[in-house]
Amino acid sequence: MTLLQHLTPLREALDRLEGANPFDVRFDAVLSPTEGVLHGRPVLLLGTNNYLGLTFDGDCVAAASSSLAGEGTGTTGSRIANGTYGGHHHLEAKLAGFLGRRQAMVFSTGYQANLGMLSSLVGPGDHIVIDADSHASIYDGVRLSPASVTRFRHNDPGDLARRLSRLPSTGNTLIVVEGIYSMLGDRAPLAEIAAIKREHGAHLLVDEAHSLGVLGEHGRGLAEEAGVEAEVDFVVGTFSKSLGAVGGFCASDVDGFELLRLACRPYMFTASLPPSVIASVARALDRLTMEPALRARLADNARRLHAALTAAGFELGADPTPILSIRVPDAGTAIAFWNRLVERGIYINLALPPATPRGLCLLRSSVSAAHEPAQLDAAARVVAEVGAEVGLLGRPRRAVSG
Amino acid sequence: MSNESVASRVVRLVTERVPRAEAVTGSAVIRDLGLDSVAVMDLVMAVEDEFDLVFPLDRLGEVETVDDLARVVSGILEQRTAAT
Ligand SMILES: Cc1ncc(COP(=O)(O)O)c(C=O)c1O
Repeated sequence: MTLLQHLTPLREALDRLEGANPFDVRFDAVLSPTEGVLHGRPVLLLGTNNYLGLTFDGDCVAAASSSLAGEGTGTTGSRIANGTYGGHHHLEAKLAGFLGRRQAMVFSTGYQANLGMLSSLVGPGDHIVIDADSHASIYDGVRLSPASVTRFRHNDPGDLARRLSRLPSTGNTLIVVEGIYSMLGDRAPLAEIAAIKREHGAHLLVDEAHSLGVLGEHGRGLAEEAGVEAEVDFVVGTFSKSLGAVGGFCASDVDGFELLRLACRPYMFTASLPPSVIASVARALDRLTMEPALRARLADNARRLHAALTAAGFELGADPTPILSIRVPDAGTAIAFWNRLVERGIYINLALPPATPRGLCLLRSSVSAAHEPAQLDAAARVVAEVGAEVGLLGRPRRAVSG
Repeated sequence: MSNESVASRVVRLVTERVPRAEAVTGSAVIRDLGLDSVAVMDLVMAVEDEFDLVFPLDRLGEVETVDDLARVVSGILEQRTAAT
């Protein structure tokens, strides 16, 4: 048997791709939150999850540089050995304060935060019930858990209730949902889910990866927007999207939370974040809290691009959120569409099954507060033209802007 | 509750999900029928609804063929009868 033979179907799928491999994108340069150079051409960045556009923020860069010079390039150790500096501790307190929770734990990525929490929050004889469209980090996390795992139909509170009522009455139950789903950009019906959670005496974890700093009056996420923070027992999130860096966290009021630091393997057996990253995230969190205008601009931009793409005749995944996904009937069209957009100076994400729910082929864009309205209007025009070229829009219509 | 056997109800659920029109037998290997990992998990949801039970995802490790799936379902049903 040849090693990697089990990956043959993947090899074949890759070989079928025409044009540039959309999963091997190498930017020649990234110049700002909205501009880059790809294959020698300037491109508008419209698929980077950089919701608040803070990656080049002067304060964040300065905080990181100063920490880099003062504290070095890395901690070279685990949080429970030599890898916790003052900054890590301070950031955890700051996050807990921002989210109105007693405690928070910082992980090296959001992926690891899900792995860590889902593998250690519940034990043998307990139950985890996850949304069917959950992110890979949630799927991988529950595989590490000794609890029994079941799925409920995406965003279907009635289906969740039915599945909860089938569970044995023994053991704890943890429900896992996301704030904004990463592929289609749809929100979880969190108020209904929270009511069901309470009725069944379950616990609730919400991954606010795409909604932190995006939703809610103060940017605390979907739970804030839906007014159900008190029902959310665990908030998981990432520093790699609205906060413009890398890292993850979980915040909670649960008793005994501190014990997780000595039980959570994805927290313990990996090096902690470099102090410069911690410093930039702390500054980004300040920007997020002190500048609600960033959030307002992001929401305006999302509505603007959503309206323009809808007017052009595209079928989008959901109501306006910063994630706007165009549904494309087949992978071939999606790949051609994506390649043509790169040629026309627009970088967005191509998402194909099995990374997408229900076998959907998607061109996924994510809007930033840093986009200028004119950039989005121009992008919508180009997307509509290319959409017509690849036969996606029945009759080419003129894109309506704003 | 129908009189249909567990095995034939499972065969019916699998057949509904097979992308190619082909007769599904109990000995068929589920992955060879063209169901990817997500489709298999969706099949598990349909099985849970059909039999009104909980089918923990880790038990998929025991399932290669359609008959394996029916066997796990029967086991869960028996366990439940024994418990009540
Ligand atoms: C819903 C969700 N959770 C977690 C993650 C992981 O975040 P990170 O990039 O910090 O590992 C992502 C990002 O890909 C995500 O979309």
